[in-house]
Amino acid sequence: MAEGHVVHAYGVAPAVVLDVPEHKVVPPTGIAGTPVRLLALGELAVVVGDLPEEGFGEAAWREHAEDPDWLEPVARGHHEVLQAVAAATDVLPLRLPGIYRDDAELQGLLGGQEEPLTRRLQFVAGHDEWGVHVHLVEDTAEEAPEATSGRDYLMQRKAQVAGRDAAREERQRLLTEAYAGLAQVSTDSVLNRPQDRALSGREDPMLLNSAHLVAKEAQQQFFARADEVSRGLLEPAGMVMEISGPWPPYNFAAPAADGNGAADDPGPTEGR
Amino acid sequence: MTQSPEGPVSRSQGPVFVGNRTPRPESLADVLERVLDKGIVIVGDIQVRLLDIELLTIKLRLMIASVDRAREMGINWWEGDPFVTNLEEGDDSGASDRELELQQRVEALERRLGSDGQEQQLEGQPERQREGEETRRG
Repeated sequence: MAEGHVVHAYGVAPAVVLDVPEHKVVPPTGIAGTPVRLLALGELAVVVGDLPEEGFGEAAWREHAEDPDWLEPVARGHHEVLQAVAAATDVLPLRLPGIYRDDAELQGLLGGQEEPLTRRLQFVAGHDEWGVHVHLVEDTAEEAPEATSGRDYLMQRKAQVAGRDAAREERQRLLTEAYAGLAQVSTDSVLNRPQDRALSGREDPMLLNSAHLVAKEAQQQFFARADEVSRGLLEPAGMVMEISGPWPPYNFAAPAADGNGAADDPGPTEGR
Repeated sequence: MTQSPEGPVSRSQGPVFVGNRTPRPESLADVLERVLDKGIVIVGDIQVRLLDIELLTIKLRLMIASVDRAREMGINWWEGDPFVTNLEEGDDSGASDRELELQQRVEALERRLGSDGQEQQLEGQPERQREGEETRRG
C-alpha cells in the first residue's frame, strides 16, 4: 500500500478466492478508478482498495459526507465492486465508511471478528438479496357524488373518512400477507422503512420496502410467489410491486442482534 | 415514471423488475440505503408539493448515521413528526383537509421558530440553546 493512502474495505469473501487469479474475483478498479485487491485474513479474504487519503480519508468523510455529489460516486463505486465480486463468489458486503489506516490496522480490527464473519458468510452463501417495493398507484376508495346540501356534505365526508380508514386497514392486511408470503420462500427477510417521496423520487407513496435473502435455487420460487401475491393481493387494491436485484446481501451481512430472523417481524405498517 | 423494459406498468403484469435485469441502473436511494447501513435518508433542498400547490420548502440535511446512532444524537424527527409520517402515509385523498392541516402546522412552526430566536437572544447563549432546542424538537 502506498504512502498517503488509506485502505478501503469493500467486503469479505472466503479465503479460497486467494487461490484463483485475482482478476477473476475482483474488478480491476473501484472507487474513483483506484485499484482493488484481496487481503488475507485467516480463513477469509477481504476485498480492499487503496484510496488517496487526501480526498477519501477520514478528513474527507467528515467534510463531504453530507454532500450528495461526493457521496454518490463513492457509494456507487463501492456497490459496483461488490456486484462484481458477488458474481464470482460469496461475499459479505461491508458498509460505508470503511476506511482503515493500513492493512495491519484492518487485519487487527477485522481479525477479531473472524469467527462471526465466517459464520455469517456461510449463512449468506449461495444466496442473493432481492429488494421489494410496493407503491400505492391508485386509491381504490370511492369518490362521493356531489353533495346537494350541507347535511349531505357532512354525511358524505364522514363516509369518506370511514372509507379511507377501511381502505388503509385493508391495504395493511394485504401488505402483511404479501410480505409473509415472500418471507416464506426466503431464507431471511427484513422490513425497512419505506422511502419517502424525496428519496424515492416518486409521487406514488411507498408502502412496503423489504429485502429478502433468497437461495439461488429458490429464485424461481421466489419470483413465482412475488407474481402470485402481486396479482392476487396487491394489484386489485391499487398497489404495484417492484423487485430489484440481485443485490449482494447488504441487509443480511450483520447478524441480527437478538439472533432472530423474519419470524418476529411485526409486519409492515402503513403510516401510524 | 415507472418503466420496465417490457413497457409501462400495467395492472395485470405482476411485479415489475428493476435493477440488474434491465439497463436501468439501481436507484441511488436503493444503493445508499444499503451501502450506508440503515443510512438515513435525505437529500438537499426538498420541495414538498401537494396537489401542485407548493406548500413548503424544507431543508433537510443529508445525514449519515445508523438509526441507533441518530437516536443517540437525539435525531428522531422522522418518527414523531406528523408531517413526515403523513407524507409517508401516502393517502392523498382528502387533500383539502391536509392542506389546511399543513398550513396550520407551518404557522405553528413559524411561531415556534420565531420564539426560539427570541429566547436565544434573551439568554445570550445562542449556540447551546439552539442545540438543546434541536434535540428536544427532534
